[in-house]
Amino acid sequence: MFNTGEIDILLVEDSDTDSELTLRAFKRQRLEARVHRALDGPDALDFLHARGTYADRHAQRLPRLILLDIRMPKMSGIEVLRRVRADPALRMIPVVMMTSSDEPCDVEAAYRLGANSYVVKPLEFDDFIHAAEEVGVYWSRLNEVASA
Amino acid sequence: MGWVPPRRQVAIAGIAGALGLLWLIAIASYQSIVGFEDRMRWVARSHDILANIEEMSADYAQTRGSWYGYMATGDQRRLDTFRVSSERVREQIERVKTLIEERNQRVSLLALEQLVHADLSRLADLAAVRDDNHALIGGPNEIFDALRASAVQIRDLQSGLVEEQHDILQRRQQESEDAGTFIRAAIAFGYSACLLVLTISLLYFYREAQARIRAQARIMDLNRALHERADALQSINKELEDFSYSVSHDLRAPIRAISSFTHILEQEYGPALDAEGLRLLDVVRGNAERMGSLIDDLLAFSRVGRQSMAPAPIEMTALVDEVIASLRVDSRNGIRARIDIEKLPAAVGDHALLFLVWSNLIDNALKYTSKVEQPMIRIAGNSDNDWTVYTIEDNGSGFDMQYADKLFEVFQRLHHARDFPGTGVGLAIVKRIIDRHEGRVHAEGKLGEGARFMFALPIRGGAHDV
Repeated sequence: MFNTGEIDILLVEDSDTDSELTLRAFKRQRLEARVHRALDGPDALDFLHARGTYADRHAQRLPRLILLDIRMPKMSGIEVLRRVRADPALRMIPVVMMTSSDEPCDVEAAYRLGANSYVVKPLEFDDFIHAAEEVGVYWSRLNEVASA
Repeated sequence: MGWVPPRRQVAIAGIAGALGLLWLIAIASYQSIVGFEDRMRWVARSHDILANIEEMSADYAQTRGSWYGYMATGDQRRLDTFRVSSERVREQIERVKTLIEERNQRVSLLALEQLVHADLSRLADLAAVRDDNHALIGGPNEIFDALRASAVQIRDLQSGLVEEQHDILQRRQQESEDAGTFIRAAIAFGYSACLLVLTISLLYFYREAQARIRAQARIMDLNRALHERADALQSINKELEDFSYSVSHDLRAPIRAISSFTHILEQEYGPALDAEGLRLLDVVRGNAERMGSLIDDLLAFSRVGRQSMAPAPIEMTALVDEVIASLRVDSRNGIRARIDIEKLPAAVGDHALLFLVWSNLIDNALKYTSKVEQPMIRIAGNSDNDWTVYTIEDNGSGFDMQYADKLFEVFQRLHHARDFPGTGVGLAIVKRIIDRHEGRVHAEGKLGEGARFMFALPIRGGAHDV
């Protein structure tokens, strides 16, 4: 059900279509095997803390990147970001907000809480694939991460 | 309400009148006191005159007595008494002369003086020729008769003077009483009138104060209602914001899905479709894209209305250069049109919003000159005392002036999307921003010849947050 091996990217996305599109983009860059998709905020936090359905996951193995949608059921991406940044074990993981909204209030809240980047999902297929590829490649391959 | 309050002016005039009346009463009282003292002095003088006349009568009687005594006895002491008394009578007449001022009294007094002087001189003359042997006693009767007649005359004149003086005295006392009565009546009437007027005026002002308090309470009620309305508006605004937030998040995702999956379908199953199938897919994708642009533009339009403003002085020429540079970056094929920019006057406004104004106007001009052989755009500006006016002119496709007022409305387009793509929001955004700067927009054009857009920003008092 989930990837027990090493995970580069935690994709937190409630929309199946957006998730599929993102994964398609990653597939082109051969990143898809190292992606885990969480369905919402609590699911993502469970994964990060290796608890609940993820209890047998190796908690020490943290993703190199969290891709976070904002508008999700149960808990907003902004709240997930706040909790990640408040947790000493998780706070060093780069977080890229990837969302439909370009509302200034969302952008402001994300950066205030310590998001590393804010990407608005393009509406056009080509643009979207391109953006997702670049984000995936840059943050999971090029970017150096501090060890927690 | 039974009692109708007089007008405010009448009340003020009433108070002024009452104060005037008080002054009149004060002046009248003062004058009455002065007059009273005057009359008292006159009364005292009358008493003085009467006393002097009485004294003079007594002295005159003594003169006569001592003269008779001397003439009868030759006693030298009697003669001395006669002389001293005579002198006193003269002095008293002199004194009375200084006291009397009435004309007829003076005439009587002068007559009396003449008589007395003549009488005393005759007595003195007779005393000087007294002879022991020829004592007058029992002498010729005609001399005595004359002396007696003279004494009677003097007595009559004296009593006349006294009577007249009594009359004068009585008259003055009467006058004094009359004046007193008048001033008492005047004071009583004056004070009553004052009190009445002051009472009415104060009553009026009291009512007015009450009315003012009521009005104030009403204003406070209205204020409260206004605040409630403002709160309601704020909550409606909040709802609108929530709405546009939802649109921003939730409406985009399905459009992206339609657009993207049609694309994937075309890519992966394209070969299985015939030409008509591919065309239909293209129609679906085209509409999804158009829907996406509409949402984006509508959100931009709504944001322009909500965004807070930070007015600052703006170098307009530099701003326009900045806009053109950014349009150059955005455009895929570069800018073909020749753009002439004159030196533009500076203005005060919100930098980000005015950036949007210019970027919409220039983008429009570029779009509508795109089918012209030699596209030209001219940007100019000037200012007078009240307004700074900016103009952007192009030689593009222009528009029919009869639709000019529709240009600035949301989703209103004068061209078909197949000729010039667009959503019809750009100029609505321009107008909204200029409205928020309390400025004006204007458009002129001619079909096939070009268009000219103008916007004016107020130089003073404008450009504050609305």
